[in-house]
Amino acid sequence: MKRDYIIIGNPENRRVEFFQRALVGQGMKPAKVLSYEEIFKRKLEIGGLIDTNSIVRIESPGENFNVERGIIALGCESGDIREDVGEGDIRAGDLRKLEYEKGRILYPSCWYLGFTRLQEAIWKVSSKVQGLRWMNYPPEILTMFNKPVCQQLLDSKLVPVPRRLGKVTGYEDLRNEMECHSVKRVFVKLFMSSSASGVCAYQFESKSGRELLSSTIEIGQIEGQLAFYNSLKIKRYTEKSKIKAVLDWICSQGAQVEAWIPKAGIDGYAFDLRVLVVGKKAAHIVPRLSKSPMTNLHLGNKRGDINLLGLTKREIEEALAQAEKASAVFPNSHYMGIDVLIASGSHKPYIIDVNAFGDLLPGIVYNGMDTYTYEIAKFNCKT
Amino acid sequence: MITRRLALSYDECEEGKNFLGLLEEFYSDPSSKDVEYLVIGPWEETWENSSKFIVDNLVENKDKLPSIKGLFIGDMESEDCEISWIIQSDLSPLLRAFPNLEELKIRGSSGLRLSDLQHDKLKTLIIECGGLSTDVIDDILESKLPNLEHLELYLGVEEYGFNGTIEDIKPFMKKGLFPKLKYLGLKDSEIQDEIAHEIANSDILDGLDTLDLSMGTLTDEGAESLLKSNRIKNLKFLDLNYHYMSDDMMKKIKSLGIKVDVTDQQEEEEYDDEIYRYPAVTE
Repeated sequence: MKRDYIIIGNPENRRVEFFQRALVGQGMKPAKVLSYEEIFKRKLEIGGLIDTNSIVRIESPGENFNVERGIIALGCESGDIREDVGEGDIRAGDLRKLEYEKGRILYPSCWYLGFTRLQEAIWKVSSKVQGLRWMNYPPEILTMFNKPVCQQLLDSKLVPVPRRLGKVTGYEDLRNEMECHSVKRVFVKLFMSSSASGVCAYQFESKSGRELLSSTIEIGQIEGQLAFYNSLKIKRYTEKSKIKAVLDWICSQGAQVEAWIPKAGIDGYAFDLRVLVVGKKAAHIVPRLSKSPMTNLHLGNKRGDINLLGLTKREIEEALAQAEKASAVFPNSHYMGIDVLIASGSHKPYIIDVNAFGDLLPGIVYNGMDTYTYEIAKFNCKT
Repeated sequence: MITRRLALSYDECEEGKNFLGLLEEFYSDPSSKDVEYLVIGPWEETWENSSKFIVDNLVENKDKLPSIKGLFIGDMESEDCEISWIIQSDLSPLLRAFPNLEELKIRGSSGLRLSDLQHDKLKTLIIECGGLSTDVIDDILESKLPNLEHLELYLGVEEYGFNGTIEDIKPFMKKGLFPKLKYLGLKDSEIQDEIAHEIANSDILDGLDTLDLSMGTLTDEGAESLLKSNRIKNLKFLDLNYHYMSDDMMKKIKSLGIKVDVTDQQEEEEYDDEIYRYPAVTE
């Protein structure tokens, strides 16, 4: 049976453009695009917009403020109370006043609740529209997005992940928890973040009480209230008051806390690997070289060459094998960008992140194909 | 040179291993007696435990390491430990224990001392850090290292331990302190211009092959002094890698007629009408 693709995404985004180009490049019809804005306009009732037997590709809703606001609104209207999600902190009345501000991290826990409702609504379409196939499966996308749940799941399937600390309510609690686990260096991340938004590397030293928080978060103020922004430059906080402000806020939204495993390095750079796994097999690989604890490429970090990292063939194979093992935890999803940490010294791999939208890797080729072309080729084999 | 690096990885630490265990394993390996260059990487909680226990252990076992010519204490990156958080100790006992030592490289200056520094064979001394204290600077100034050929000091910034002024650095620029010196690095400094200005006409340049003023906050001001100096052309190599010079000044430096490195030009930052420049290793 010949099937057409439909992309759910933000049509103006390059991710959509790249995927369309890949379809056409393979002699296929461009996908129909259903925008998130349209989904909001239709109050999540989208049954009629998706054709039977379509292949559904769900894209990142990022980089579009109307959509971001829509998702947050969904979250704060939902009134959901969930143990694993921090308190939503915006009232519906304030939402209308919400204006775009460059880099500001808006109501992460509300966002996740809204994102959950949105994905669930999309998923429910399959009960009304016959024969849908999902490139990535919405319930699994949600799990990938929820770091504590995702890491716990990986751990339960014996995929190596950094040691997790318990749920923490704020700075003081974090310090106690670190003491209790004898861990002196941790990563504290917003539980649902992507693209290094709301990520902190924190360390303290008990003898002098010295502490350091390296973070992509910049602290600002709006009408006397603290506000938090994404910074492309890594901020280094050494003052307790600032460290506490950042950590208290992340914890109020819901945090993932894990041991900071020192990454292997080369020529003064630390690195990790972004591995695109497609159909359970490792494909495109991008080593990410950084001088800071954060390796995300949009922070000005460098791409490296897998063969020039000082890793043995066996160590590379082991890293890719663990990425594939992690992908198998999501059996109904076709592709994901998996971040593999290679520990300094031992070169043992650890899975630190699974990204449902982790395939935006322009210029990276595997078997002569870019990420999108390869995903389509492999998916067509399956169908 | 037969080199061995000992490092305690995160995974070994989690398994309950410790650095003394690594050292014991190393000594019991028969090839250890041939090792000429020993690199000491991360030990357990380098930000809390000083290198003293390693120094003591190496001194105690010096007879098992008859071939040692080089030591690097503290080979680690910020992922393992921030450079200003590495806790060193007085490393002089190593110099007394290894009379054939030719190179000593140190990373991290917190807690570092080189008291009563004397050695007949040491040719190379390198200290990489975020900020060097006048205590260590004075230790080196008072040392007796008659064969020292290569001295490389990261001076760093006040925030990470540099508490000196140009007056504390000037004695390094006088001929005679280390009569065989061929390479002088006074680098990674927040007073790089002052250093350039002072050294430009110092007689030490007559005997040097390499002057290394890299990784600091050198601007056109300091570079201008170097350019005007009659002595600078005696050098074989002028290393100004990582700097804040203008394109124009880079061109002038390149036309000095000696080998130079002016790569890695930095851009100053402006914040609240103030201009900020940072050395390379300030974290």
